[in-house]
Amino acid sequence: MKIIDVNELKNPACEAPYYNIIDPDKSGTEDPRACGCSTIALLNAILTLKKRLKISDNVSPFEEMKLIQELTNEKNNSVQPETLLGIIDKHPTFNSCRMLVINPNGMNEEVFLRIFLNRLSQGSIALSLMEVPAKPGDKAKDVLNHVSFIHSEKGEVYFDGLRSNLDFLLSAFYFSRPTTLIFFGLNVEEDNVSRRKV
Amino acid sequence: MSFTQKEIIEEILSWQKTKSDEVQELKRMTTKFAENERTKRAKEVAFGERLEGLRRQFSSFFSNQPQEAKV
Repeated sequence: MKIIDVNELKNPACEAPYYNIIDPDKSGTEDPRACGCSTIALLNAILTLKKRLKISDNVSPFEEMKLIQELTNEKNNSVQPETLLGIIDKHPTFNSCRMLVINPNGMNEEVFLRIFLNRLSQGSIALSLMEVPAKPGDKAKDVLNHVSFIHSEKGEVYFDGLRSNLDFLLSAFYFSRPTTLIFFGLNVEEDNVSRRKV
Repeated sequence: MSFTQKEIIEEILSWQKTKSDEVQELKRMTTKFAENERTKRAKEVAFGERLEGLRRQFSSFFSNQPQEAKV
């Protein structure tokens, strides 16, 4: 797990996404501003979805982060894909979405790209379970060690809060064979219907 | 130079700096991932003629509002 310093969380009015700063010095600390990649990816996903689905509740980003950290038992540094998917399964914000899970390496390149580009342009967001090498240029070990948040906003695409291009995204997604992308499509109409029922 | 002009110039300079920082970070991140055969193939496909329309869509996100998303 990579540790990320999220000073921006001090400001509860700050809108998603938060820019991620990888800071290895925060590893193992209980400083609430330091959180792992899975927490920041989930937090960004939840806050972005809330914004796009126009969900307004009284849960601040900081409270949301603390909840994710508790649910993932992050202080033990052991966030596994199963834990991540468990939160997606239980968190009410994700109930308003349709999910698509794909592995770019297991698909025809053009099919993958068509799905990826279409989904993002339609307002979907994505979590990517992937491998980031310890050193630049290292070969893939085919072991997942990072979760990143991908979304588009105002004509730009962001990878973990960093404005990115297609060249970079393809380098990242095809680097390791087990890379898995989870798309969350907005289910606005059905969401509105369910809210009216409540 | 008026106060408003000064503000605009400062804003442009700040925007340019942010953009330049982002480009540097993106370059650094891109070199992190070693290229393999699949990456090369995917890049050829991505930047080919068949996906030209979608590529344009890629750089003009949110021309469709999220409410109109069809999944």
